Amino acid sequence: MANLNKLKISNDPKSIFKNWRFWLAIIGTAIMISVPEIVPNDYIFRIIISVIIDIPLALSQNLITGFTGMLSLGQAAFYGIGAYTSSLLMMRLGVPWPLALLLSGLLACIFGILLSFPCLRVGSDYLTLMTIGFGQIFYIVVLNWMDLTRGPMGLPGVPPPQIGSIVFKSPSSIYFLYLSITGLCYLFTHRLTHSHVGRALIAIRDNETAASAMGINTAYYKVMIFAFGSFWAGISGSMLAHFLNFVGPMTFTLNESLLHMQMAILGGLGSLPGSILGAAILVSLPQLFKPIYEYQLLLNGLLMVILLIWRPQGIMGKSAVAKKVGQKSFLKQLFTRRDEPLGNTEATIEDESSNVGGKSNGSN
Amino acid sequence: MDLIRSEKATMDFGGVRAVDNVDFSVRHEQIVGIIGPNGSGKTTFFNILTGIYRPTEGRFFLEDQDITGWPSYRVAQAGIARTFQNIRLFGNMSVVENVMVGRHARLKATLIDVLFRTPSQKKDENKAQKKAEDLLDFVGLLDKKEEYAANLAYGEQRRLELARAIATEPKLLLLDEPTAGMNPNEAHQIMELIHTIRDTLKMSIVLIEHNMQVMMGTAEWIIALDAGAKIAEGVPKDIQYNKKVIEAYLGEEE
Repeated sequence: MANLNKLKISNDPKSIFKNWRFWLAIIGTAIMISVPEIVPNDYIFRIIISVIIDIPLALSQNLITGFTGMLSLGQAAFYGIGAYTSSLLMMRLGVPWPLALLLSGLLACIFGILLSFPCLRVGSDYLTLMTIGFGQIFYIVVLNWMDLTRGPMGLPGVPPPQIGSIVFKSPSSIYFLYLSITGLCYLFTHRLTHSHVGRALIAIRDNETAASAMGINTAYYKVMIFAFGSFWAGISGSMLAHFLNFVGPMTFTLNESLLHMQMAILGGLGSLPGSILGAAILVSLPQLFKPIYEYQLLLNGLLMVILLIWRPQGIMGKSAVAKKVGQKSFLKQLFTRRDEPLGNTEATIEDESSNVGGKSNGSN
Repeated sequence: MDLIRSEKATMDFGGVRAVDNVDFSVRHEQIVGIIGPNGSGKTTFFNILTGIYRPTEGRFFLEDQDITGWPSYRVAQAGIARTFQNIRLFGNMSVVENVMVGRHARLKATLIDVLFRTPSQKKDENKAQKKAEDLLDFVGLLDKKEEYAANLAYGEQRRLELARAIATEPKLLLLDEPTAGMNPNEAHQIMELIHTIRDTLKMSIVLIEHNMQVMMGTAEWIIALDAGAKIAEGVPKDIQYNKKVIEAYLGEEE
């Protein structure tokens, strides 16, 4: 029946125009196409491109933390792996850009899979420590492997993206190229989360024991989501390197990982459009407040504190628990014990009252 | 042939023997009850049967297939579904999505199907949705299908958990205190539901229950545990007057 209904809607030409999503898509596309015309100067244009580069990072952080409930703080390392891989491949080996882009994603993906295996064996707190550790290892290796990375001096002169004989040098050409890559990332992430895979991820976050009792191979999905997330972080890194024409280790520190986490939380864990918003705000805000550069981190901190008080589920996030049980946010959930089912406060209270009432509640 | 059979199932936690050499079997379409005082190993028995813990000793067979020590998700895929004593729903998903998670292992769509949204994946999703709605109708929650699971009332959460377990198309359904915390009226409804599930969906059911009225009204065979060991089994009538069972609950007569 559901199938039939859907067919009906798509066959009726009138109802398409009544659908707000349709209009949103049209307006959105129009804005995206006209950005090069609207933007007053190159400076703002470069900020917009930086946002586009950071969106896959926010999305993958959201998948790992918002959907699957793993508090990973190692995305900057995969970001860096991608950046260095595609720069070095192009500069040292003369690999064509599309291949270098793909390989940077794949190498980051391989490292993501390798990191996910030890992470599977430990609880959530240790997973966070382990991913921070991985990020530090990456940073130190890049800083000290002089022959390969030139250490703190970084790699200047990274060539711009190039397909065949077309070189993407002007901001507007890079804009459209990166917009399509990020668009692809969004499309895949959207499809992943709006399918049985997405349900499995949320199930793992909400209650891992119940998820596996439903026949979900939780380890497989955790590895898969790490692989998917680090692939896109690697792609992001590659985009950054070929856009800035420079890679240096300072871009890929723990601070960067924290920024990705902030993007996901600010926009709303579990909301994909939220991640875009989060990336947009946190990339453009520092530029807006450039005159008071010294107070940048203070401002960021203040922003997060205000957000968590005012709207703990993020700007676009939604949460059954935040709505019902006081203001308990996903973030708070993340730091509480995992095996406690979300939003079962009522159930627990009833369990206890049934105990009091003399009817035993055998907990063995 | 038995649907499920355990041989000398044993579970030690450090020095504590939670389940002690339990032999147990369930026939096709049989309803079996497990009773015993608190801490007698009932839930632990469920947990080693469903692969949440790995039994220290002993074996489990599902239709002659050895499933001992299988991880939880494989046991579920093989056809054993369960509900939990302390309800474990996915609170941030809608009611219908919770049941659709139960369909997870029965979907055929692969990751490639998902990323490229192939027609077969769409068909799969629609079928899962339809099936989930049918099951919600069956347990009487269809009108709440878009609500967050966390926002359901307690009794509704229990029903939802039941629907979600059935969605996995199990051969064996394990219910851990399905009527805990319910009033007699609600408990009676669950009792009827259990019978309907067995009769229409043709599955075997094992339930842990403290409510003796429910137990006598549903179970066709009862196993009594005390301190992890099986102390008696038989038809409900006999178990009710079994000396060992009475002693386990009330203590020995001086």
